[in-house]
Amino acid sequence: MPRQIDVSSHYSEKLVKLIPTEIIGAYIAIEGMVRSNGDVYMQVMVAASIVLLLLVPLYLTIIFRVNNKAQIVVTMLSFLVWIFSMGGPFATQLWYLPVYGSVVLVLWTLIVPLFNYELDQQGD
Amino acid sequence: MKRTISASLALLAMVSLSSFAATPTTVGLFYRSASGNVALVPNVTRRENVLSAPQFLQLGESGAHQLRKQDKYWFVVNHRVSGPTEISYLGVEIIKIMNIPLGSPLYLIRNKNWTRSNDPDFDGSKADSRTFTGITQTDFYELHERESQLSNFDAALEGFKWHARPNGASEDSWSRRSLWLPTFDVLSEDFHSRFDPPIEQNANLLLDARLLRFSTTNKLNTENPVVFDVTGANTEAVYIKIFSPDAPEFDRVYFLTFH
Repeated sequence: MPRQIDVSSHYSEKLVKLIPTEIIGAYIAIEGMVRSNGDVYMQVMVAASIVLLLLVPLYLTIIFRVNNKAQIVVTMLSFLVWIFSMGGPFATQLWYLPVYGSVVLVLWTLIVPLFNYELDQQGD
Repeated sequence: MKRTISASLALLAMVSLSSFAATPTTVGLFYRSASGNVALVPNVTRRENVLSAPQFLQLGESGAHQLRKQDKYWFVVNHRVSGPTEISYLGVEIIKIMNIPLGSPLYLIRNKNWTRSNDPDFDGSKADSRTFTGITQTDFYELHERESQLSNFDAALEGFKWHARPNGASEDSWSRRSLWLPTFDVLSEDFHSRFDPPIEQNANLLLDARLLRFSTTNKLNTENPVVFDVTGANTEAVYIKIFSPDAPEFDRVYFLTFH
C-alpha cells in the first residue's frame, strides 16, 4: 500500500495524507489521556511527540514502503507542523499563541507542494 | 459571627441564581490579557506545574462560577502591566463554606519577602502562616476595625505578626487595614430571604486571609507568577475576594460552587 505524494491533491489534503493516520491517532489518544493530568502534561507530550516523530520514518518505510528520503523528511516536518498547529506541548509556552499555529499550518501547506513538485520532477 | 454567616449564605443563593462559564485559554493568551485577570488552572495539583498546564480557564472580572470538584484549585493572577513595574501586594480573602464542623475558623498566610520598619525581630523572608482556634472571622474583622496600634493587633493574634510591608514597597498592609473589613453586608439584605434555614444551621465557615507580595512585570516571563490555591475537600462553596491597595484593576470577587 504505497503512500506516494499525489500532486493533484489539494494542498491541505496533502499535509494530512503525508502523515500516517496511525501516528495522528496515537497522538490524539495520548493527548486526550494526559490532558486531565496537568502535572505531567508537558513532559509526557514532549516525550510522546518525539517518539511518534521517530516512528514516522519507520512507518513510512516498513509499513507503507515509501523509500523517497525527501518525502520522509517532509512527512516528519509535516507532523511537527501539525502538532504546532494543534498546540500540544507548544501551548504550554508563554510565547505560543494559537494564531502562530494557524499561520505556520497555512504556510507549510503552501510549501509542501513545492517539495512535491520537485519530487515529481525527480521521478520523471 | 451571625453577620458573616447570613451574608455568606447569601452568596450561596447568589451563586444559584446565575453562573458564568470560564473561558478556556492558554498561558500565552492569558498573560497577554488584561492586568489583574484571574484564571483557574484545572487538573494541576502542584504549584510548580501551574504554568505548564495545557489549559487555563479565564474567569470573568467577577461573578459566580460552578467548578468540577477537585482536591485543590490553583488560581493565577495576571500581574503583567504595560507601564512601569512596581512592588505591591494582593489581599486574598477566601471564605469557605464547609460541610464538616470546623475547629479552626481562621487561617492567615503571608508569602515571603515582607518586612517591618521598626521591628528587628520580624522575619518576613520566608512565608508564614498560622491557624487560629480561638479567633473567629468576626473577631478578625473587628480587630481591623477597632485596633489602631499594630502591636495590639499582633497581641490579639496570639503574637502572630501578619501585617507588614512588602520588601521594596513604600506602604505597609496595616496602614490599609480598612480593606479587611467585611463586605458581605452589602449582599445579605437582598439574598438572605432566599436561603433554606437548614443550610444556615449547618454552615461552617473558614476564613483564609492572605497577603501576597508581588511585583508587576512588563515583560512576558514566568519568573514570579502570582499564584494561590484553594483546597476543595469538604467544601461546598467558596467566596474569593482579591484586592490591591494600589491598583483597582486587580480587584475581583468570585463565588464558586462545586459539582
